[in-house]
Amino acid sequence: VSQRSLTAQLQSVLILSTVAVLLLAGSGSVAYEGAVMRESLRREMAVQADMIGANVSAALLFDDSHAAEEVLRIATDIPDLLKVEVLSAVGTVVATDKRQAPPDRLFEQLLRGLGVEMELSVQRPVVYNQKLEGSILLSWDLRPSLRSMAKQALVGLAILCGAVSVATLLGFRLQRRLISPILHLSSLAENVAQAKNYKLRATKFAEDEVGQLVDRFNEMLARIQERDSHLEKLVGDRTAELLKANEQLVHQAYFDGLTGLPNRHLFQDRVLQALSHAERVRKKVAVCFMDLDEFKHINDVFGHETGDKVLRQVASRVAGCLRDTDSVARIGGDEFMFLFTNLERPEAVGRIAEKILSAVQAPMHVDGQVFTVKASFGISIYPDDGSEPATLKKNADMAMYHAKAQGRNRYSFFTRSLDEQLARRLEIENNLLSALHEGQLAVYYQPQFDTEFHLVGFEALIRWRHPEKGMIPPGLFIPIAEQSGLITKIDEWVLQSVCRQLGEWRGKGYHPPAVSVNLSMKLFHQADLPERIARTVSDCGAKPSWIRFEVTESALMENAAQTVGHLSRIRELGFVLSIDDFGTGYSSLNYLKQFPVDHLKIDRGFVRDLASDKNDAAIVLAIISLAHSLGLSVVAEGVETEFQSQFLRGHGCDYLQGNLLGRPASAEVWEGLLLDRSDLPESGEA
Amino acid sequence: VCISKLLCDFEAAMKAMFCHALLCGLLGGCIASAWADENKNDAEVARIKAVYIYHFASFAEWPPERTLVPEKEVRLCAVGGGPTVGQLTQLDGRDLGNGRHLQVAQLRLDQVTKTCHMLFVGELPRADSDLAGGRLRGEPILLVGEQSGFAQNGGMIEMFLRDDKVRMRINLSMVRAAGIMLSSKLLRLAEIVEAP
Repeated sequence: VSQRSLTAQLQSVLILSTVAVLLLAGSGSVAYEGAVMRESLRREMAVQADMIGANVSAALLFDDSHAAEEVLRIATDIPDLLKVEVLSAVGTVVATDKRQAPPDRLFEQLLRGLGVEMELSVQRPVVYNQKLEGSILLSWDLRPSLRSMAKQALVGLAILCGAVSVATLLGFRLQRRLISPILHLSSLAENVAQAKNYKLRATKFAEDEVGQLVDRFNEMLARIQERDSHLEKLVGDRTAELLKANEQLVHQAYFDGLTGLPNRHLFQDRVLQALSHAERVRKKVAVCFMDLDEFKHINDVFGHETGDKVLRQVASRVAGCLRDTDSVARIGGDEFMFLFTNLERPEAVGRIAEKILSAVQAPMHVDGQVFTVKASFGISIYPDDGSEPATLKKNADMAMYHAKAQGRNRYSFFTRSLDEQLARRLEIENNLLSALHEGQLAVYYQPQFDTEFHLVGFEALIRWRHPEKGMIPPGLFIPIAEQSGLITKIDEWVLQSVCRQLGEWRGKGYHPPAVSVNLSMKLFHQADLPERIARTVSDCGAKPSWIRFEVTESALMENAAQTVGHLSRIRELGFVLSIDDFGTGYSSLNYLKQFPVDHLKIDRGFVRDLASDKNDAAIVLAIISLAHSLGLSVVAEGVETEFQSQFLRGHGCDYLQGNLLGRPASAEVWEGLLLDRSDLPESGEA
Repeated sequence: VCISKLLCDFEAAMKAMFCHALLCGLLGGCIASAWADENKNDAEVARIKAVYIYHFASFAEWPPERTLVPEKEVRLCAVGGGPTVGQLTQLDGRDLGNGRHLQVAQLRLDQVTKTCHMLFVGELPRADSDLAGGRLRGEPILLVGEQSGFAQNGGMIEMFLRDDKVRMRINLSMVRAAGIMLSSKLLRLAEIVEAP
């Protein structure tokens, strides 16, 4: 690739061609003139020689060299003649005339050195009467001619110099005419490349080839500009799409897909922010945990789609209860977390929790069904209950479990004792299974009497005799067993124990009355519950009529629709059913009518305050009246005073149970009482 | 060589003689060969003279009334004796250029007529030669001779030896008087004598 500029190339081409043309023309003309000069010289010399020959012919004829020399002296006054010789026919010199040639000049020496001939010789015959008489030899000095030619060459050289200067000048003009538009184009291209400004256009100076180039260049720029703007638009569109996708991803990363609530990651962020802010402003923050009670049951029975719809409704209800500064997040399954900031007093959270719980538990219509969802709510307060998000969450979780253990559908603040309770609960949970297998559990029986104080039944109550801690009350470990799922095993064990005990008593010849066995709500989640019960009973050699199952009112109402089915089947198998703790739940009279039960059992809470609380007395009376109008018999438990006994018997309560009449005790204790019943028919209707 | 010098010019001959005598005296052996040279040289000079006479014919123009008879023949008459006359016969019929030929006739003096264009006078007694000159005076006949003083004494072209070469002496008055034109080329080579 040529490194030289176009200008230099053009210039050198012009100069070289000028020099070449002029040199060629000059040397050609010099050579031609030289040849012409030589030829004319030769002719002239021939003429001269012939003239001399004519004059000297007689001298030759008469062999007169003097005369010949005389002729030569006269005839040879010719410039530039070096030598003239008259030769005889046989070649001997007859006469000669030589001139002294001037010495060579410098350039002539040079030419002679180059082998250039400096003399021209011509020999002409001398003829007389058609006979050759001799010859004339002329030698001519060429140097003067060469000198004149050299002068000509010098003039030519001067012309050459002039032509070169003209060519140079022309070259500069050409450069201005031709190159400067190209340079303009080049500088424009550079500008475009540097500024990335494709709106620039080159100026056209002429309609020649460079002008065409400018047109093409501008067309190209227009294309690039078009392409550039197209690309810019494309990039803009793509960027917008990416931003949107990114937003979606961020949303997916920080929000729960099902409910649209923030997820655990976003919640974590918000907790951190809230804590650092609270630290600065010395305000309190509440981190709360909420878990729907028995939500798994909805999923199991009605399917996940329904469950999801319920969750969505819960989420929207919950969100509706919040202030702008509060947050709620779904952190998985049926678990929600709340963040309440800028709290002056922690007690305020309690009110919000109540509001949330009541919002959640309002009946909701989903897929043609009516659901009543309840939840447990745990609260932990920064900085009282912890300063780290993890601690606060853990404590809120603990508080929520406490709320669940308290009987659900309520909230609970974290307290230091909860920590200990949790530890105890964990211990119980760990020990309960081994207790079951190692015989630490025992069944106590509490008698039930009619108004005439005849024994009509027992209620089987579980007791845990811990080898180190002594008696552990059922109120402590039964909720834990329910939560851990152990309750199904415990209930089964109790049923087996009762059946065995009844078989044993009958084997001894006693006629024991029916025994009430509590059925945990958990058992009702088993689709084959009636069959399992029937199998367990028959395996022990017992009969369904010997057993009376008690189900708490709240458990029944929790999932009334399904429970009704199970209960009907159980009753068909021949078992007797009763509703336990009646009055504490929210019984729908409609369901109560449908429930295939035989007894209502008044909650011990109403019985306890009968004497002091007129309302309780009124409720008890109402329950008795209600039960009787539905054709059910009424059992009052927790009878501990004579007043209670009198009141209940006086107002139509059918059966009584309580420490006044008999404390729970092991089976052996009651064998004496059974003796009195030996005359009674086998399966007493209690 | 020495002899011819004696014949030509006394003074020069004496010098040459002196030289030759000196040379001969110093180198006696060369005398015999010198004589032989002399004989040979006589013949050579005669031959050269004959050639000169032939050339004279071509440098001369005769008056118009002196028509060449027969046509384009130049009649060369020779009288007297000597080697030159003997050589002249060889020129007979020679081409002279321009279509001319040379006709050579050897005559006695009294036989010479106006029909001759040229007359070569060989070795004759002096009186005869004068006579001849007197008798043919005014005739357009080119008189050529080789006797010393021939040109001064009524002859026209006299051939003589100088510096070993044959030279001419022309009596221009005589030539003019005879109405003959000689070429200036010839005249330039010759000594011109003006004598009646």
